[in-house]
Amino acid sequence: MNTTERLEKQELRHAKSGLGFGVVSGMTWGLSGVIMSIAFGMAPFTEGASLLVAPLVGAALHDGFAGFWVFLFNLFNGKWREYGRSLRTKPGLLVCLAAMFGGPIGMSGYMLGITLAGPSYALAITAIYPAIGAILSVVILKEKIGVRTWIGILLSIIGVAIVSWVPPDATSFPYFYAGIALAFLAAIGWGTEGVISGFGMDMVDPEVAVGIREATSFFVYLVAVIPLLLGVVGYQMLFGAFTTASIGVIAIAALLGGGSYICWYLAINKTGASRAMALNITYALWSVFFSWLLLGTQITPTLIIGGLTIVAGAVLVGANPKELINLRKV
Amino acid sequence: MAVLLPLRFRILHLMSTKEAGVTSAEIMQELGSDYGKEKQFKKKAMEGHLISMRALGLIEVETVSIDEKDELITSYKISEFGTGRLKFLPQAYK
Repeated sequence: MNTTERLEKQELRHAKSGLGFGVVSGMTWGLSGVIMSIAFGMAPFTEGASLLVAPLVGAALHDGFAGFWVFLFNLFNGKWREYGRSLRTKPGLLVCLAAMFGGPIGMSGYMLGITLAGPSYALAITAIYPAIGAILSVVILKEKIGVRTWIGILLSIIGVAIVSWVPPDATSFPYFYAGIALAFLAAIGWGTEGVISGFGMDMVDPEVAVGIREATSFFVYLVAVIPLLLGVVGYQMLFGAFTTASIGVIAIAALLGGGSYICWYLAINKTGASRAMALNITYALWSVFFSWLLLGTQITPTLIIGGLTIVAGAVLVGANPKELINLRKV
Repeated sequence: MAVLLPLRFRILHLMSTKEAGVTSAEIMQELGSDYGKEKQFKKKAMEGHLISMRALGLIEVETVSIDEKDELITSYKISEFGTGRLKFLPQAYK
């Protein structure tokens, strides 16, 4: 093997590790979501003054704890000084902007979408975020996306729609269309987050970017989302959670959530935002798997068909090694 | 010099000051006085940064060779695309 071949092999190994991080990000996000649903079945989240309080407070606590865990991680790997350095630069501030799109806009839209339109519609609609992200990554990051990758992204989205689809039941959702609109907002939020953070990570370490992202998101929930949308009841639930066992469950979910985010951002950095996002939405499949494993949820033929479609999509996304070596048209 | 840059940004900045390509060992030599005491400042991590930055188009491979220990030695230089990113540098580094 000559030197050029060895270099190419080294570069391909690096990009493939990014694909692996993408899959693990989906797996851990799915598990984190299942554990969050356990926390939402506990006090004080079952005593919400309105339907909106518990999901938003839960999301805030999740990001707060995730920020704490990621900071500990960065403390041990010697990157804690990078927080201040990054925040003094424009790329670091871009990561903060990405955090706002991902947390307060993306996550809140998702949570409110589930509440107002039901989980199946909300999940299916938010799963289009890799397509939005892929279009943005072509425009903003100049990413190269081949036909196979596009098909993979679309297959993954269709798979998520199949997995999350249940026929509309008798339960009425009086604010159904508002819920659908909010789920779209979440998809735009997450797609934008991946691309803006990808831009920032050209100059900021991915693991540090996640730490900044989680902390910024928590801060914005605390000073804007909770007071503006929930008021005093929001803070009551937030502080109330610390006196119950649910806080431990959220801390565990956030440990997985923070780990998931590190994997997602590393995947964006090593293998491109569009591929990372398409692999990240395999969380829909993983959450079904972990719900079956931990909560005894039934596996139906629809889930299997949807699951296989997601896997086929994910395989296509990583199928072209040539695309992995030069991620952008520059 | 002013407050230190994030390490990855500093690598890009360092390359913008060099005519010729630089290897990971040379970068570590040059930046050691500023970042050397930090746990993140390791050969493997540095190579990881460089491979990512190359795939993202910020830097280019100039030469590649194999040393006496049969290790791949790659020298990189900043690309035109990477030079564009320098507009985000704080004033003190411009």
